This record gives sequence, C-alpha cells and structure tokens, in this order.
Amino acid sequence: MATETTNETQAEFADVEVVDCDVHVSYAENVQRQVAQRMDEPWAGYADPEETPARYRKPSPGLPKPLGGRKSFHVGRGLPHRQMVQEDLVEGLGVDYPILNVIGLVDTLFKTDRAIEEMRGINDVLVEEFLDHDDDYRGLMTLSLQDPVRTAEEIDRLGDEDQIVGGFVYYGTNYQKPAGDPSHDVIFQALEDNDLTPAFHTSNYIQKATHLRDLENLFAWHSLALGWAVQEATVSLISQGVPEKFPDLDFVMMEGGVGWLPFLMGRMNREYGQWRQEVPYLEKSPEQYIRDRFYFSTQPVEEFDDPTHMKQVLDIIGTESLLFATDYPHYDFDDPSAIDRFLRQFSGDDRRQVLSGNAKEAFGLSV
Amino acid sequence: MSDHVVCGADELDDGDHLVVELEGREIGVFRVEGEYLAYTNWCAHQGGPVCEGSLAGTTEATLDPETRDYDLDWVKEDRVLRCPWHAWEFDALTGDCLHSDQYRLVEHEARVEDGDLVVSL
Ligand code: FES
Repeated sequence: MATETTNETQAEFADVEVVDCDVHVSYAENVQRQVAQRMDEPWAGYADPEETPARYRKPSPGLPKPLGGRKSFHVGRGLPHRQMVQEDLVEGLGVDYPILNVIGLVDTLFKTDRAIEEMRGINDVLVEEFLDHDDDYRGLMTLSLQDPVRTAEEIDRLGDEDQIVGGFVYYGTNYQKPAGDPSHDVIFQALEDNDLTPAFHTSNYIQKATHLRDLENLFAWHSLALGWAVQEATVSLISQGVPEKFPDLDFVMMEGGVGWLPFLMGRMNREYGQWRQEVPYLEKSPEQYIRDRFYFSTQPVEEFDDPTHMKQVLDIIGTESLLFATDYPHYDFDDPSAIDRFLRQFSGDDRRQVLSGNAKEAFGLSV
Repeated sequence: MSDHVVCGADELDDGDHLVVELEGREIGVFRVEGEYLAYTNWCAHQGGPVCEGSLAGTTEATLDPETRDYDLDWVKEDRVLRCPWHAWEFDALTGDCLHSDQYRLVEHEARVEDGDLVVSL
C-alpha cells in the first residue's frame, strides 16, 4: 500500500468515526503457534506448525496460483500483525475501531474435539495477544457449530471480556448444520445471555455446496461463493424462526457483499406466500425481518459498469442495514473510499450510520 | 345493490363452498362454522381463481419461552382457503390473508332469507 494513497484516504475520514467490522487476524504460522501453545494434547500437536507440516494442519484452499505474480494474498506489508493493523488500517486508512476476528477454519476440521480445543486457543490468543494491547480494538470470538453445547460454554467463559462484542462463525463449511438449526439454540441463548451478537462470515473456499465446488475456476467460484454462504445463513435463520425465538439478538452477515439483498428479500417474500404453513411462527414478512434484525457488511462491494447503479441498490436495501468493513488484510479488501463514494450521495447522518453508527448498534459498542 | 338467491341454505354443509356466476361475475359462496360468506373469485396475488381452491386447516405455532421450541398445531380445519395457483392461504371466515395484512378476499354480503342463501352485489 503506497503511503500517499493511505494519507489521502485517512483525510477523507477525518470528520467521521469509522468502525471496521471485518478485520482478520491472519492465521499465520506465528499465530497458529500461539494457539497451539494454549491447546491441550493431543490436539496441540496437530495445530502446531513446528510439529505438523502445513498440508496436514488444515484443508487448504490453494490460492497462490490464481493470484499469479502476487507476493501474497495479503495486502499488508508483512509486518507483525498488531503493527500491521495499527499502521495500515488505523493510521493509514483512518479506521478508528477495528473489530478483529480470526479465520482459524475450525469448522473445516472433521475431529470435533480438536475444533473445540482450537476454538478455545484462538479465543485466548485474540484476547491476550490483540485485544489486551489496545483499548480501541474490539473482537469477535470464534464459535464452532460442531458441538453447540461446548461452544455455548465457551461463550459463557469469555462473556464478560469487555472487548469481545460478538461471536464469529466461519459459515458454510462441510461440518456445519444450517445456521438456524435448532441444535444451535444453545449458542444463540448463550450469546443473548452475554449480550453478544452472532456474525456469520462467508467461507469463500471450503464449502459444502457441491454446485459451487464444481465450478471451473476461481473467477466463477468467487463470483458466487461469497454471497452464497451468507444467503444460506440468512434464509436458514429466518426459516427456523430464530429471530422470534431470540428477540434480543440481531444478526450480522459478513463478507457476502450486498447487491443480492433486494433479490433475496423479494424471493423470500414470494416463497413465504406459498409456504407460510411450513413457517407459521413468522410474524412478519421475511423482508421485514431482514430490515429489522439483520445487518450486512458491505465488502466486497459490487462493481457495476454504470457505478450509479450501486446507489440505487443501496436505496432499496436502506443504509440502516449496512455495516462498513474492509476485510483487511485480504487481497479482495475494500478501501473505505470504495463504499464512501456511494455513501456521500446520502445524508451525512446516513453516511455516519454506515461507517460507524450501525456497527455501534449491532455490536453494542460503548465507544 | 341487487340480491341473488344462490341455493337453499341447507344445501351447504360446514366446510362446503361453490362458485356461481352472478351478473357475469364469478362469486364463491362458503359455509364456515355455521356462517355463510361470499367472495369474488379473484385472488389478490396474481388474479387466480381463489374460490376454486380447497378448504382445509393450517398450522399455527406456539413458542415455549423456556425451551425456545415451537409447538406446531393443525388448526382451523375446513376454514382455510388455499388459492389453486400459488397456495396463498385465506381465512374463509374473515377474508384475511394469513401471511400478510396487505391483502384480503373481496367480500360480499351473504345471508339466509326464508331458507335461501342470498348474496348481494
Ligand atoms: S393467484 Fe392466488 S396465490 Fe397466486
């Protein structure tokens, strides 16, 4: 990232607070090592990069080839991670409050005991190595859906950490049931009890949907995969009546973009008319649940040939449902100005809501 | 307002309905829980012949606030009209659409006079 660009970007946001809802702690070897050190055996050995070669540690999406000559799929400059977030994101892009999560891929692991153990290690690293070092950082604790009861216990364990503001599900992987499955109610209950907000983050490479898995190349796959996982989560949660069961919870969908939202609202409304008998617990239209109880992070923002069309899409969705996110440091991140060029066409209040106000409401941030 | 004798009131049992043509308009007449009702045979969704649908029951949910489980019950037997086109449900006793208060059946006055079922248009 060139310093000039970042300084310009920062100046654009000098007048407004920016909360970035999707900042990844890279699951780099040094972080994996820290996690493994907090895990019990036998699982620590599976996760530790010094003991187990990379190809055995996690299923790999195999990214480097499609990215051609790029050095890395990170946009960061290879600094130690805390320094990277501070210099690139906070000082460079003008983000005031990064909300950190760790894509540790726990629900890609077929050994449930290891997934649970690694989830705990990841959460300890998030708190001890990141959140404890900066009062302005917030974090989403990692949640596994593979053993909901033990995940609920994990939520209770960390529930009173002030800087933990929600739970992070890397969603759409092979070992998960649909988001709204009743077996997950214990997780939603624990989140509600601890004033935490569930966030479902798309899993863009490791997915259970075979129709995506069979696509020919990354262009095809990535065109659909990001939106697909969070659409599935949204539909599943509404179809199981989770918003009615847990009236104090809001739901955040991350890294799916937003252009498909008008479609999904209209599509679910239509299906509701035809199949209401299956979902008699719904008290209002699916569109209304989405508008009242769901938030969607903006990245990766869609790019139309005629850029004015994005403003029209945002008009339909309504700025009150949107959360600003960069996805830093991943290669498909959004610079804050990518969404701000559309937000500046709304009122100053609406712009502020998307850049920080909605996130404060969604995650109950006390900043 | 013109009155039309549709049939003898006792020709309809609870849960029965039929579609007749009155003044060139198709009208569905219903007997539900002892009441007589009449609606235009036109669905507010896409204009389907709603009154030609079947009358059955439907599901209703009760949330147990302790367990957060839904109990589903089958209710309103012989009272819920399903449009034959896309299965929208209407309460034939009230005319309400079950999934949205933006829509309802177009209702006409129906009454029993001297043993006849009379509909006013
Ligand atoms: S026309 Fe009646 S349900 Fe579509």
